Formats: sequence, structure tokens, C-alpha cells
Amino acid sequence: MSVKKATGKVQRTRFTEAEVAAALGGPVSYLGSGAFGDTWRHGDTAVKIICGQPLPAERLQREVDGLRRVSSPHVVRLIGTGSVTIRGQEWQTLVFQYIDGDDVAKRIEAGRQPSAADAEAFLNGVLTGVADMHGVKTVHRDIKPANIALRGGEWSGPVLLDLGMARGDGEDTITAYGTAVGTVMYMAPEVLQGQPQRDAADLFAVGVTVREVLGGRHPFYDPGVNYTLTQRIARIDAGPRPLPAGFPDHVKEVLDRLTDSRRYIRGSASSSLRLLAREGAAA
Amino acid sequence: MTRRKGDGDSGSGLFSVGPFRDKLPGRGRGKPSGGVGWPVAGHADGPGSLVRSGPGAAALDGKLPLFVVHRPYRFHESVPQLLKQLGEDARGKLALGVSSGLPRQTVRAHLKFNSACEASAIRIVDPQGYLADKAHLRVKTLSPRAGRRAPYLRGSDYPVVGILDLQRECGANLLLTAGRALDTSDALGALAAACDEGDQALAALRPGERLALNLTLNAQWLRNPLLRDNLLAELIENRQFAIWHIRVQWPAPARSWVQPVDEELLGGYRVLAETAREHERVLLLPQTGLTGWLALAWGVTGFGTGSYGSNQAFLEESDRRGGKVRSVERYFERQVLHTVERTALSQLAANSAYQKCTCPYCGSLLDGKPWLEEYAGLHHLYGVGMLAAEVAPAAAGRPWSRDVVAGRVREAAQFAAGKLLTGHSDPAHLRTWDRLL
Repeated sequence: MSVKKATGKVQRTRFTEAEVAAALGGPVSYLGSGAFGDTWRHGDTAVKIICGQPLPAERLQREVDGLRRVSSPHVVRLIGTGSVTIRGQEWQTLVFQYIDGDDVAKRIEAGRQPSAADAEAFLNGVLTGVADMHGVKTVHRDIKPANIALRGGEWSGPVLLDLGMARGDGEDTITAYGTAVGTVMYMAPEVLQGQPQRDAADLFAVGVTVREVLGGRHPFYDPGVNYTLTQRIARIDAGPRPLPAGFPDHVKEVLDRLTDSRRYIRGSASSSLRLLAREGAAA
Repeated sequence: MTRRKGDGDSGSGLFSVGPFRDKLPGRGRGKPSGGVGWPVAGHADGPGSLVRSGPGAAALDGKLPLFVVHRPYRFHESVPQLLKQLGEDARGKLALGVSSGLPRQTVRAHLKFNSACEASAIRIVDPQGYLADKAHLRVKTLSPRAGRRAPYLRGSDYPVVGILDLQRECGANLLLTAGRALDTSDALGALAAACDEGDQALAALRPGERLALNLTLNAQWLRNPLLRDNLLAELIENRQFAIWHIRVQWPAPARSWVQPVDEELLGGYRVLAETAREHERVLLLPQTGLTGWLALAWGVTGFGTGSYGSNQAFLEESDRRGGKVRSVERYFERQVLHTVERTALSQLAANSAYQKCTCPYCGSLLDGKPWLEEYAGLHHLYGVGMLAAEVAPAAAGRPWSRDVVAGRVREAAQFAAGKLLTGHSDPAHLRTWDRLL
């Protein structure tokens, strides 16, 4: 089945809009698809129907437990879990708050970049969300522009969506490397090489995402090129494209650390926030 | 049954204070004397296995340097008084600790030693799990007696809580995980297993107890960038472990009284310490001697050393077997930050800028009487401890500065210049240290 999104793109969905509306008991609109299911807007909520790749119950429960512990203005709030019956089969659902505002991928697509002040606020907000998640031992695993909404359309109001289980519009998701889940273009080198996704992998993805926002293009890869794994790692090792002029040095410093191939250089979300605050105050 | 001297259970003379027992402050007053600043009696920090306040708590919160004295096999009776003296002379600028290898003494001997070390705020009874890991480190073959004292060394299924209980029985107040050596061929798996054990240990702590994640590594973990990255990533991500006790085996042909000059190894220590400081982890480096003191400049909170031998450095076990080892008289010379042979001492002392040590142990050492290894060892501990006290922050809650260490290193290099110190008496490490600071 396919459905036309607000962006005009036609997306494949597992169920029709009518089926989902009937199951949820009200009008719905399609928001996106991930590896494990489709997400639909239903009133003030975003309902993810787990209907994609099989998701072990234990893993789903672990995710839910992690999400319930997170309390952050920069992480979408999990309202609850439930189930819907469609085509005679019961499907699990995760119900999140709906964030009104476009996502960062659309901003990049439209060529709308933030000002220097907005860039710092955006980076600060994303790092705060990641710090809040990591603080409760939850790793997002799929941070990328399509998974960051801008609350009220403001760069200062980023909200992390989808929480580790999603695939964005038209982007590759791989699951070939052990437990790796995520989007290749934002994967840290150690994850590309088969290591588990840990906090440092989220930080790398934050660095790549924010650099892409600020520079308008991916910091390591050219569009339309199908890189091999070795090429991807070599490009990361060679370092990111320079950022455009005009952004504060301390923002660049934090982004340089976040996109380093060495995990310890990336530090933690909290240490990056401290660095931003300290150097920002000194600037 | 014959009791061996140094085995800790011998009755006579236990915890005597050496030749200066009548001259040392606080002796004979019936109770420990109070120092300036922090209370000297570390046991007041908390009962049993707790560290609740005072210098011990300050050190475990990363606010005060921690100087750990490893219990010597011989002359351990003198350690309590040494610590008391250091506590008084350091004037609140230093937290003191003692560390004993759990498999090396009986429970009774551990208890006696820890009870006697009243000035020690931190008491570690290290499980030394690495003794069972000959595949990853060069260590002595485990003796049957050590295996009986530390049954976890004989099998991998010993419960984590049992290892904690053994430490409690021995009088420890900072508990450690087992400290197994980490396999470089399965770095991620080894680190994950160590952290998993740490999580189990955290879950088994009693209210108020403190735990350090105890890792034992060969030098490749610090020298190899990939291994180091794995280690540091764990340090950063495992926020549940506030205290890390990391022992690194220095490769042959190191000597315990000679500081390593391997820049890859020292660079690894620097990155490790800086990362710990940046991420607010308390990092303790046992058996590192003066190199541990150097690492204070980079962000280490505490280090350990001993009066001689393996307590000053965690070295690869030698291939040599048998043969009498010639005893060389060595003296820790604070002005060159090095242990020199006694024969070189007169040359240094002839210089007008030489400052004779005034510690309680040097009077006998330096006035021509027969050389006493015990006093040389105590002098060494006193001197290194006082160096550590210099690094303490000027005000509570402020980080200590590397400038103090760097200044000391430069002064020592200047003093040593032109003194014709050769062989093992040459403080060659100073040039390397100066570059790395």
C-alpha cells in the first residue's frame, strides 16, 4: 500500500489509512516508516504500529522501560503502549506525544540553515536530549535529521523522535552487523565495523547530523554514491568537510570532537554540553 | 608450625615504629595525635567497610590526592607510624591509604594491619584476580597457600558477593572487583565481562559502601590506540563506576626503581588520566611509584607505591630462576625525583644546592651508620607522599594543577644536570616527563 505524505512523497505503508483509522477509532495521517513499523498521527499522539521486522518482546519491553525513564523536553514522550487489531491480527503499538513542527531533514532539503545563534541552540538541545537518554542508560541508535523534530518550528526546540527503531524516508537501514540498527550515513565507524551501538555512536550521529544542518551537505559522503564499508571508514578517518564560516569556534570544536573516529574523543553528551557552556561563556 | 617473619601473624614487635618511636610526634600520648586540617585518625571516616567523611571521602570524591602505601612483605610493622607521620606533616593536603594483596596474607593478618593503620583513611584489600591469569600477564605461578586464602583464584564460578565478603572480613573500606586481567584478543568481551562483574558487585554493596572497578591490563592496553579507545570508551560510558582502580603491567626489562620512559605507555597514561578527569571519574593507579605521582598532573586521583620491589611497580615476572640477587643500597633522592645508588649520593650532596632530607628516617641513613633497607624504604614512602601532598589544591573543591608537578620535574632536571649520574642512577625519565607535561 502507499500513501501520500504531506511532503508530496509517496510512501509504502503496511496498512491503509482506512484500516488504521478504523483500528484507532478516529482520523489518522501517515507520518513515516521504520524498520519495525509505521507511525501514524492520531489526534495529539503519534502511534507506532509494530508491524515491520519481528521485534522480540524482551527487546520491545527494554526499549519501553528505557523510554519511560527518560524525561526531557528534547526527547519525545512515550505516553504508553497498547495494541490494535488489523486484518484479524493483533499488533503492538507505542504511543508517543505528537510534536507539531517540521523535522530537520525537511529543513536541509529546503536549504534552510540556522543562524550562528540558532546553530548553538540546536546543538545544545540535541545534546541535552541525548544526555537525558544516556543518563538513564538508553541509546537512541538512529539519530539523523529525519528523527529530529523542531518543536514549534524553532531550531532551539529539537526533539528526538523514534528512539532507536526507525528508518527514515528513503534511507538505507542495515541490520547486518550483529545488533546494529540505524542508518548507514550516520553510523559511527565502530558500528560500521560490527561493534555494538553505544553512547559514543549516538554522539557521532549527533555530530554528523548537526554538521549536515550547518553545512547543508553530509560531512563525509557525496550524494548518490554507493560507498563500500572500507570507503566509508576511510572517509570518516580523513575527517569531515570544513564547516562554513560564521559559526562560533566552540561549536566547531564540539562538532570536531563528536565526529572523531576515536570514541573517547567524542566523550559524553554531558561533557560536550559542559564544553559548550564553558567556551560559550568565554567567547 | 613455624611462623615466618613478614607473614603478618608473628606476634612480637608487630606494628612497632622503628628507631624513632620516641621522637615521633604523638608517640606515647595514649591516643593518635590530631593533625592540622583533616583528622588524622582515618578510621573515624566510617565504621567497617564505610568511608563517610574526612580525607578518605574527599579522595573518593576526587577532591584530594590519595597516596596508597602497598603493604610490604617485610617491615610492614613500620607502616602505621609512617602513615601517622605523613598525615601530620601533610597537614590535610593528602588522603592516605593502604593496600594489601588479599591472597598474600591471612584474614587475621589483614585485620591486624588495617586496624593498626589508623592514619589510613582508605583501606584496600585487593583480590588480585589477575594472579589466575597467566595467559594474559607474566605473573608468578599461584601458590597453594594463596589459592586457599583466595579461593576465587582457583575457579571462575566464585560468586562476586563472596569476593566482596572476603574483603570486608579483612577490614577493607574501599571494595574492589576481582581485578582479572583483560584479554587483548577479545577486548570488547573482556571489558564487558569486567563491567558486568562490576554491576553485580554494585548490586551487592551494603548501604554507604564504595566500590572501585578493578582492572588489570598489560601495557598494550595503553600503548595500542584501538585497545586504548575501547578502554576509554568504557570509562566514559560506564557512569555507574565512579572509581576505577587500574593496574598496568610494565613490560620487561623494567626495574621497580626506574621510571618507564616509553612514551607510548606514558602517553597512554596521560590520555587515560585526562579522560578520567574530564568525565569526573576517580582514577587510582596502584603500583606505579613516581610515575603515579606524575599522573596526578594529568588527572589521576590516587596512586600507590611501596617501600621496595614489586610494590613500586607492577612488572612482568622475570624469566630468571634462582641465583642470588646482589643487594644494592639505593636511596630516593627527592631533588632528582629518582632512586639513586648510594654511591651517587655523595656526589649530589657535595653540591651547594643540595637539600638534605629531614624526614625521620634519614638521620640514621645518612650519618654513616650501616645501611638499613627498612629506613631507605620508609624514607622513600615519606618522600613520595610529601610530593603528592604538594599537588593538593590550594582550596577545597578546586582541581589540582599540573604546574606543581611540572615545576618539580623541571627543578629536578636542572639539579641533575651535570651531576654525572649514570646507569640506573640517571634520572632519564625527567626528559621524557618534561616533554609530556
